[in-house]
Parts: sequence; C-alpha cells; structure tokens
Amino acid sequence: MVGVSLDEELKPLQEMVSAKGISWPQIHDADKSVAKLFNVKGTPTYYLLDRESKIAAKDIPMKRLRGGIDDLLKK
Amino acid sequence: MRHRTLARLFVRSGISACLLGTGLLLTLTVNGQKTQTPDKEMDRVQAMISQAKTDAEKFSKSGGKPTDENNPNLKWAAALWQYRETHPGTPATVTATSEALRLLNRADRLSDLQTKADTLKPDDPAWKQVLYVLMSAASKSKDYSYLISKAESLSQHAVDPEIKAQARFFIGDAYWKTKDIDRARKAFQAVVAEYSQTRFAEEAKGNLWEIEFLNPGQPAPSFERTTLGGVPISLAGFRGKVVVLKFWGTY
Repeated sequence: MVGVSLDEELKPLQEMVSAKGISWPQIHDADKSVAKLFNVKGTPTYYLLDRESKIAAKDIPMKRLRGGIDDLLKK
Repeated sequence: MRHRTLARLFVRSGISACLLGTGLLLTLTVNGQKTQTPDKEMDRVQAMISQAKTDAEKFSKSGGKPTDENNPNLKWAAALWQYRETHPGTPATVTATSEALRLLNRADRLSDLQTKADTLKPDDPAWKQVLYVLMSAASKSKDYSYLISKAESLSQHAVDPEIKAQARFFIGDAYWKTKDIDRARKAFQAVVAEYSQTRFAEEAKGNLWEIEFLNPGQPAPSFERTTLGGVPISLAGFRGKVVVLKFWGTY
C-alpha cells in the first residue's frame, strides 16, 4: 500500500498519519502531480497494480479491493 | 464513505463564491463607503431547499419510497419551480431551477424533469448546474441519450462559452460511460481544441490521457518521490509486489 495524499498542507497529514499509526509509505502530493499522472478526480481513489506494475484495476471501490488483491497475490 | 469529487467541490465553491459576489453580498459603493445588502431572495430559496431536505429525511426515515406520490421532494420541486417562473433573472432563480430539477431526480420523476428542462432556453445561466443534474439522472437510469441530445444542442446554441465547453465535455463523459470510446475521444479533443481557456480543457486532457494510457493491463505511469519519512520511493521499486495506490486526503 502506498498512500498519496492530496492535502494542501503538510501538517494535518502528518498529524493523521501519526495519530492513526499509518505504517505504509505516504507521499505528500501537494502539487497534485502524481494525481495528475493517474487522472485522479476525487478522493479516495484506489488503483490496484499487479506484480509487474501494470494497472490491474482503477477506481476500484473499497469493498472490491480485498478480493482484487487476493486474486493478484495468487498469480 | 463519501467520495469527494474534486471537480464538483471546485464547481460548488466556484458557484457559491459567484453567488456571494453577485447576490448574497451585493456590494454597493455609496459615497466611497462600501455597504452590503443581503440577498433576501437567495435566503428565501435557501430556506426552501433546507426545509425540503428536512422533510425528505423525515419522509425517508418513516419508510417513504422515492417514487411515492407523497414524497415531499415533489412538493418542494413544484414550489421551487413556481419560484423560478414568478421570479426570473436572478442568482436565486438559478438556484431554485437546479434544485427543483435535482429534487425531481431524487424522486425518480425523469419525464417530469426532462419536460421542465426542455423549457430552459440555451442562454439560461442555470444550465451550468442543470447539466450536473442531467448527468446524475443519466447515470442513475443508465440512459445517457437525453443528456447527450441536450448537451449537443447546448454546445451549438448556448451563449456562454463556458456552458458550451461544459456541454461538449459532458458529451464526452456520457459516451465514455457508455464505452463509446471513439465519440468520447472526439468530444474531449474538441473541448481541448475549442475551449482551451476553460477549466474543462484541463479535465478533458486528463481524460484523454486516461483513455490512452490508464487502462487495465497497461503499465502504470512511473513516478519518483520522497515519502513523508524522507525515503525515496519509486514505482520501479515495487516490482514483484502487488501495490495498492491510495489517493486520499485528510480533508
């Protein structure tokens, strides 16, 4: 899991990451350049990438994420 | 979880800023001093909208179905539309118009919604918001034909270039959702070419990029950044691993 935060300010992001003990890497995408690469129109948006870093699913709803990950891990 | 649409947030705040500018806080310069006149009409319309919301919540909690005859959304849609017809030409009219149609959409009264939308002339400023209502109605019913025909006509006859651009953009979006990629691409390309000054051009560029490069099976765009913890991170470093990219915000 990689988090890409679209927060304008760094502080609320740092606070939430430490308050919630989020352990996965976080990118602060303040200029939205990573979001632009993935044409992200709103949050939250999930992209699922396979072992070859190919797009497996985009804009996948959270409830389908788990199943999607399991399928990919089996491959 | 509520999905926050950046574009919609932008539009909403844009619209409210605009309304604030022209209506709620009409700024008059009197002898060099600025005084603010509240827009009583906008307050009146907003009060109707908030009462409609309260009534709809009560109705739905008591087990009412959207299509029920006594859905309060129908009563309020009629009241707001009545306001539109008796109070033309103000920012409050625009709000009353789009909210009336939104309530009809919530009550699944598609044909009523379309009959009313048909009465709006191409130069009506309410189209900016009404197009969003039509898009929402189209995705709800999975039938984009009415939206497309309205937007086609607006892209020809609207007076405001911003509405023309928006109409063309919505045509692209509608075709994209129905998986008619060729027509979607053409519409987005037209937005980029003909309305480069509008914000829809930027969004159209993003969609064209997505149509070409962000399909399942295509390599994810690579990026290199530094994490909050100061560690360099790149997509290439995740080869061999399944990755979930979560775009989010604390807001």
